[in-house]
Amino acid sequence: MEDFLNYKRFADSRRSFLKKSSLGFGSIALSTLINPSIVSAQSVLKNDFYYPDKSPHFIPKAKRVIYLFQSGGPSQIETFDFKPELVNWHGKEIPPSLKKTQRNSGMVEGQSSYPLVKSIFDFKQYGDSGAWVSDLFPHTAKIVDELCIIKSMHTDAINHEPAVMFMQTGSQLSGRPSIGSWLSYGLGSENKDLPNFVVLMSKSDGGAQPLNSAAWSNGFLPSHHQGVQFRNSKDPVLFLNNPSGITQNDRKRAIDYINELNTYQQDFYQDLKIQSQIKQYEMAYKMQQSVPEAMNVKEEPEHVYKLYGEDAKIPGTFAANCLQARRLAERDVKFIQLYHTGWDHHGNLPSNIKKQAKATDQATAGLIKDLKQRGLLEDTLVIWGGEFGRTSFSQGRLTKDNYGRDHHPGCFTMWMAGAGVKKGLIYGKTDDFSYNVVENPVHVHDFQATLLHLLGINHEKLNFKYQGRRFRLTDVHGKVIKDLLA
Amino acid sequence: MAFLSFIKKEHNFLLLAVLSFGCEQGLPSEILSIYHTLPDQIIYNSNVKPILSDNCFACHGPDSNKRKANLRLDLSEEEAVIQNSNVLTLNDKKKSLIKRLFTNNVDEKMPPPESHLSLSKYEIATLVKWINQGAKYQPHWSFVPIKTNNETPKIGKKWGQNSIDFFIKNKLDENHILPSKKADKEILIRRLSFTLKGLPPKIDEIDAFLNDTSSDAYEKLIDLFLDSPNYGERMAAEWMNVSRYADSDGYLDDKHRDFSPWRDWVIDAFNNNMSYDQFVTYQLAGDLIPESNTQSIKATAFNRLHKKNSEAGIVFEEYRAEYVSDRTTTFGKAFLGLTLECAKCHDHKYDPITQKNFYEISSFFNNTNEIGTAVYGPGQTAGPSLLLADEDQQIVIDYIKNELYNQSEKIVTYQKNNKEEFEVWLSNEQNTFESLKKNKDRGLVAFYPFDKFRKKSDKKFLSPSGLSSNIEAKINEPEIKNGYKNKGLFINEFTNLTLPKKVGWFDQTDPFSISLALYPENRYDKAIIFSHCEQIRLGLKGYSLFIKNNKLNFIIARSWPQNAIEIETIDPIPEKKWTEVTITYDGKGHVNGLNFFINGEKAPTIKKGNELYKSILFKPNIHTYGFNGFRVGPMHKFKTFLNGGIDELKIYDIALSALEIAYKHDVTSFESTNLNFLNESRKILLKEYFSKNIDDSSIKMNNEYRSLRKKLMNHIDSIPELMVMGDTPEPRQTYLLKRGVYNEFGEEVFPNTPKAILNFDNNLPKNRLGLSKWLFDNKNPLTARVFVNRIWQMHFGQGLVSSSDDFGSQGNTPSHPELLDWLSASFISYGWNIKKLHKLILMSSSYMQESTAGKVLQENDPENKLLARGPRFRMSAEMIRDNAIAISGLLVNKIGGKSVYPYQPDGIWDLSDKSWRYKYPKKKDENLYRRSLYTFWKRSAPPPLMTLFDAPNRDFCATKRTLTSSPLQSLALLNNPEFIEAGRVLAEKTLTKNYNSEDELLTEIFRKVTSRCPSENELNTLKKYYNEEYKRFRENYSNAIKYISIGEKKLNDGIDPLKTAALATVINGLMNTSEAVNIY
Repeated sequence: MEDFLNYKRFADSRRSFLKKSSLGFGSIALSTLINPSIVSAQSVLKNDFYYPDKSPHFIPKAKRVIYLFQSGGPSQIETFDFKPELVNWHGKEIPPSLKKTQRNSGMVEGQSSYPLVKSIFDFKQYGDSGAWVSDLFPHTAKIVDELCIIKSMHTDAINHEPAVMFMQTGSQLSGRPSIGSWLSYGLGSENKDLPNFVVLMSKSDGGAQPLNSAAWSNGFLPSHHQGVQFRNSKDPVLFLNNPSGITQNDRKRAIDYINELNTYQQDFYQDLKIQSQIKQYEMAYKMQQSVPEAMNVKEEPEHVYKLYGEDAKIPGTFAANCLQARRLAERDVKFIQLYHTGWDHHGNLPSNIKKQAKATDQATAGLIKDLKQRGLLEDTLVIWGGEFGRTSFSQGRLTKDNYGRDHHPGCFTMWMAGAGVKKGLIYGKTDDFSYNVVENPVHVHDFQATLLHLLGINHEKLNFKYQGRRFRLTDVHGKVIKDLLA
Repeated sequence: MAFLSFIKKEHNFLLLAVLSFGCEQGLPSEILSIYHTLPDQIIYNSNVKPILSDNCFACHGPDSNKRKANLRLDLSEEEAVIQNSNVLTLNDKKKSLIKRLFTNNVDEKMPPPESHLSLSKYEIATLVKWINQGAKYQPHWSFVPIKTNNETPKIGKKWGQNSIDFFIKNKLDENHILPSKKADKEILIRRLSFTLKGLPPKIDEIDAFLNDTSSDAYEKLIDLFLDSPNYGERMAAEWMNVSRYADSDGYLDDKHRDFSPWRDWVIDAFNNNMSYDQFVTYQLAGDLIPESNTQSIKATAFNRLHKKNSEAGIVFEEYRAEYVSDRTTTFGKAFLGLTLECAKCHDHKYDPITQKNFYEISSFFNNTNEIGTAVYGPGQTAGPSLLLADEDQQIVIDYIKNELYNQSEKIVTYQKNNKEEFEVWLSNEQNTFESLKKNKDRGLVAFYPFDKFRKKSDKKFLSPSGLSSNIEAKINEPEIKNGYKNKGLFINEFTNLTLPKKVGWFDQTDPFSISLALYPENRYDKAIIFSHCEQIRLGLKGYSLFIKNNKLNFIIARSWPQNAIEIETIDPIPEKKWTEVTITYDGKGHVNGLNFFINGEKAPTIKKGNELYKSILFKPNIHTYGFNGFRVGPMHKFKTFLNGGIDELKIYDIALSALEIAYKHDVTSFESTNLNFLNESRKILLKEYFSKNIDDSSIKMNNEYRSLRKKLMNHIDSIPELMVMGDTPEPRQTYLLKRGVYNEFGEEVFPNTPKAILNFDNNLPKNRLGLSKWLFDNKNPLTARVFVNRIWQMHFGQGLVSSSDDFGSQGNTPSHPELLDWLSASFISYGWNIKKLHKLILMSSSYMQESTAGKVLQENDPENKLLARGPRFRMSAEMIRDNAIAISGLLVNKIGGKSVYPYQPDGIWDLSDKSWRYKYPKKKDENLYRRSLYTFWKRSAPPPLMTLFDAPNRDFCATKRTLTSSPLQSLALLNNPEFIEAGRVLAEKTLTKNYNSEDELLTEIFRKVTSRCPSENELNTLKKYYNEEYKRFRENYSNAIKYISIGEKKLNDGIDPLKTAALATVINGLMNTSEAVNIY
């Protein structure tokens, strides 16, 4: 019992310090940003799916994900879901019996008529798969045989934020963990000194719907699973840079002293958590070097820029972020979440969608090609898609060369490429109007279940007990779409 | 099902023995060995229920829809009988249960493999032993009434300060552990200061405490800190998480809003030690209590702190239902510690809360007059709202209102007494006729007969005014057909009419009338006929005419449905026929001054809305979409008056009298039928006409009244409002929503509470006040326990119930149930006195123990459940930042006020490129140094430093934080300019003092950061560090200057920059040590 009452005040701290410490950086397995201590972690995670060594449920096909999120909801009708029948219906009122099969948003409540509208862009078939792609995407068209195109996506949400949240967190209301956070929690990290879940946002050219940082939030998971935004600014990660007047050498010395002082405190309070804190400082120090190194696209040769397009030279563009994403994939970042905004084409769709396609097409295809030639596509999963589709009828006035389309949850197109998915597959089918799915529907939760499956995770098992309930990304739904798997 | 692997076939016969003899014989050896280590007596609530709840209740629990095999394992047989429930219970299934725990057969095994749940050997052994001992159920611990304190337990001789220690020591004795010794005074004062004020102790406070050798020195310190205004801030910081406080709406647009007056109310309430029952009752029902006043109504903003969606495409009712649901779940979590949200879509799977219960509770919160969208124009507030007039403003309001009252009395008296002039005027019949004729166009400011249309381009037309003073109306795509008189304007989907600017530009203090002829082509669900207002997301600010089921609906609004008046005809107007409609408004702001006339006659109507109190005129700001004046055509969310006709549009800047309207409607018949002109009803109309048109005194008096109204409006217009609670006179009907979907109605429900907790007394009012009374009924088992536990958590880092956010079946059982009850009962008997509760806890020896854990304790009780040592936990995000600015002396210790914008890295808010997006204000003022609870909380991009250090995100009610540590935190502590600046300023302050040696200097800063004196080793390290830093800055002077120039606070030129820089880096280092961010 004496043991509880006795303590040694600062005795021999110096000696123990020398023994335990310091900055043997090489020796520290940064089992990552994922593995920092959670205060009383064991009590939180006991009995739950939690592997200290973070192993998947079964052998994964994909080691990492690059998710090219097209925020705003790109029209499926102008991009991948070719609907020749709409030519005959062009300008005619959508049959009311069809219209009411889907929920429409409040944006078109004021409209008195709902004329159907064909795509103003032509479609052609490409590749061995014979996938139809519109003229908007000449570069993507050339790589269709790498893609697994899902035309039968459907969602529950009809407005931007709920739909983005649903896609990214499995719940329409913000506050749940994002896909990247779930993966970070469930899989840990391969990388020694970069965050597990990185967010890149491209700037748009005005008027795009805003994003909510809750889309990359950890929700109720421990906060080190939140997406770390790599920003196009002086501090690519918040507080990464040393203050002016402090060199990296000074920083190293400072951390040495901090660790020394911490060790005294550890001896005094016998607080084991201090050991973890010491580790965090060593990891922080390493991040200060590894993040700028990963962000340094200047070292990329000219032919790479040819692949992604000239925009890749302008920081903050979608193209630059695609290139950035490849660099992060090379460094084994688990989940790389890109956001490109500006697909919300309620009006002036023909001219607006052209702009977005131009800003994204070449870099998207470039990324796939680049990953492929580096052998990374084999274990990297690339995802392209938005939060919902768009209506077959025009929002606002249909004129000879102009129209708009409203949000549409009933069907939309996404594609996946790379690790574990069938190449050149065109999956699912919508009706002649691209209004409803008629074959092989893929609900958002199915998509999420499939995504987790590709990473070696059983979506029903990856859960976190919070307030008495086991939460998971797919809520109580979702099934793995086996047909998509290679 | 890992445990199955060891169950081999040969066990089966043994299992039979278990089954047949009901004892431990025949148990697999691995289970058996655990079986014998189990407590002698297995207790349902603490040992068994957690296992059953977590693994079995989802299919064999309260949720009737998902129940399998009609079996309930959450109820004993007796309880099932009492509940009249026709279900099977464990008693019916004992044998098969044990069998199914052990079987290899995947079809039989429990829990089934597809649930991904499995029982550990320990859990199986526990269940078996419990069943062997008779499977005795207990009611759920937190639903059992709190044991009242008949006697205060006596503390032992050896250890303990108050009754709390009695309970702690008992438990320690059971576990053969000794408590730790009392912590050093330096550590105690630091712990106490953070726990009660969220701030570090000042050096002089430490010295005073160290020097105070009186026996009540510690007690005096508690009193001192509880009396500090910083106490209210510390408590408010916690309550802001409970209440999901934010300075923005959340969702896509995340519009800003100001709830700081509510936050300041909370700070004051804590500082004034408002009792917990009053504190909560004010927030739940401050508008309904008998002594309701501005302060108590302000408190109800608690229920409006939920997120609010303003996205253009939303269905408003969907989100209104969501807000009601949010209020309901917040109520459940904040006050009852229950996860009611589970019952939103189905019966609760673990707790005895049905889906019906959920909607019954929600009906208390469903009666506000609001719609689901935000209104976000300048000075608009989604109702119900409270005008936040300060004292001076209120005096002016009261004064003008009094004047208005006098003026209206004057008018009434005048009308009553001055009959003579009217009679004289009336006696000359010719007089009245002439007057009507002469005044035919009185007040007419615009007239569009729509008889002529001039084509400007393909689709654009102009239609001239009937008045020479007006310019033409612009009409896109008119359909020109025969009208009410000559031609008329018909509407297609794209027809769009705009009148010239400022035509019809009336404020709510201006009288006006509008007449027009309408031709409905068919029946309209809802369509807009004309508008002089902004879209509905800007509260229909202005006035507008709608047709709903062919009834007419006219609205004048500042931010509809709040601060709006409206009128609707009871009878529809006929289809395929012209109807002449006149709307008159007297400019007095009341709905009774608003009237409809159909074909010259006053129409029966329904009137809604209170008085208008702010201007309805368009004013641009970042959220408005421009204003096109008087319009015909579709508007956001509203269909146009498709195929309908409009004709003879006339706008008057007076409120026409009924007589004039009848006259204008049909002059010929009016004149020919005039033989009966002087019947009584006509006389009343004439009187009205006379006083409005002829009687100068009356006209003058009414004008004076309106000018007073205008004064009042102008005065009120800039006064901010706060969203609060307020019920409609008739409660809204509430329905169970199937699957939680806003428009899938189940049965109608009425205010009630779950009887498993406590019956709702029939004598209580069926509103939020009744709900508060239910909450604070001494028999309510949860209210006190939940709050007492949260205060315990605040001081010890975790609650006696560690799942402080879940007191249901899935939550943890209390580590010291008797203590929790004793504390709860004491809290109630002290009149819910919060400060007294703090003191009780803080005066215990348990709290005062040192937190140092020896190796054995560390291993046996790492989470400190037994409390053999004092509290130890990471500081909250708020404390970490506040500590830095406090020790530097930069802290501006001002209580309350609008939220502020401290340093924030660039670009955090740049999640949008919308033209109206908010830019983070970079203000270089004292607000850089305010406490963190005042930092502007933007939901879509919360303050990064706060979220990095685990502050809850304020999307929902949160009563507990999960603390983590990560390298990103280290980076923030090392490099955040706020912390660098704080270090520099502290360095300057210390260096300007007289100190005799480096030791003294470094001891001083060490004390500032850690509140204690350094050990020799520590001092040596600091010295070495300081000298090395000094040396390297001496070698690179510019680095020193660069480093100390960080931050807005001006440099102190009188100090050697090298010393400042060197000391500042040492301070920064110290602020990165464990002691600077942890409570020990």
